[in-house]
Amino acid sequence: MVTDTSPVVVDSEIIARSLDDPETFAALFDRYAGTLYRYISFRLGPELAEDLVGETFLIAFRRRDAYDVSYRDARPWLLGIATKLITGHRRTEVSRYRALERQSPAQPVEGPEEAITRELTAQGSRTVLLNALALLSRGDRDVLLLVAWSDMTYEEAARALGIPVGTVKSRLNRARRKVRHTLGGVNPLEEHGHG
Amino acid sequence: MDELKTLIKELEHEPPHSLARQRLRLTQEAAAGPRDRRWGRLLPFSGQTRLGRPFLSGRRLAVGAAVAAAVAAGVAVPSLVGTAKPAYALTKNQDGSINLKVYDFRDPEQVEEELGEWGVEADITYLPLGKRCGNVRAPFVKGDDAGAVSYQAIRPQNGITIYPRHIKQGQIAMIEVMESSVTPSAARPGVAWQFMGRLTTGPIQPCEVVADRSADHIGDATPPPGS
Repeated sequence: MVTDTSPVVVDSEIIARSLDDPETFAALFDRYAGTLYRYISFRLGPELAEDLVGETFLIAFRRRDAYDVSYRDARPWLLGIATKLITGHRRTEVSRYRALERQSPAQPVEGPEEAITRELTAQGSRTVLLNALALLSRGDRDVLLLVAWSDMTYEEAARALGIPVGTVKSRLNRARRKVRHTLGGVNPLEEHGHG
Repeated sequence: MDELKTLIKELEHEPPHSLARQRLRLTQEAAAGPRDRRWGRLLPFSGQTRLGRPFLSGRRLAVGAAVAAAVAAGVAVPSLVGTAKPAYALTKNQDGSINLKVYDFRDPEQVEEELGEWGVEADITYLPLGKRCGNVRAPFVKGDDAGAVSYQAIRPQNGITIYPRHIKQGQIAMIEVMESSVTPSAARPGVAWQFMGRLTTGPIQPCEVVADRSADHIGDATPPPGS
């Protein structure tokens, strides 16, 4: 079995090789399974993440012939498949944010007053952010979280989700505006050179 | 994005060692690689990528999407087909999913009827291995270009497992089962049957049967050791 995870071999090359030697595809799993697990687990929790990582790679494997090898980095492709699978569990995702929101923040019992204030402020914005994520539409949440989590460019996100770049921009702007609104004008989502 | 990124970091989990099981799923699938090439050639990576290519007509895209959705639940099942058993078995699992095991290839209408009693509208077609439906029989459900929507509802697990909670009102589980006329054995390994399934809102056209020559190339899908 080929498990060449050397960064010298680009993802598109692994996919191309896997056309004749299917087991080569496992090298992509070795590169990105952990990444996908982290992404899926933060949105859906650890219970579903493992199975969905497996499903993501199975779908990718079955569609590898159609991969456009001019894109050397397969991560947007895999994250796009994972995002579509997550969409099928959107109720679980929203319930997760709601449950986390309800959890009482752990408050420091002692320490400098300034540190306590800082901690409470952070916990407060955490609750507000979770509420905002739960309220976002499915499409807006997908774009916001995919970009925030992965630092993808607009073009990569568009390719990953199979939507036009303009739609990525408009969804991202809308999501940021809504989150900013719920945070009371404080914008934690300022743009840092995407696109 | 500092606050959102901080939150994301808090919610993330580290990959467990048990993730190796998913790697095993992939490598087992890879062992049946040649049949995937057949389907994969027709599949667009995503609408965005291929739509930008002028030589692909809308019709070809439609065919590509058809196969993408169908192959999502496609699997070769190297199991034995008995003759003394009933034609099929339907079992409802604790999580609400329905398991369908086909033992003998008859009575698709009966399977449809029983699934209907459990609230799943199904359209089941039996074909001999080496044939397939050459036409796009029914429209696709929204967002199913990657096949992920159908894969949620109709999965190649323990035979065929249907998840009614992923089937919306008005959607039909369209399943095509291809049966081999030769029962595989240790001496003559091969594929007993395979299936493809996807969701549609209908209407469903009759299957236009065409030859599926590449079905001959999947005869090395042997059961895993010990099975």
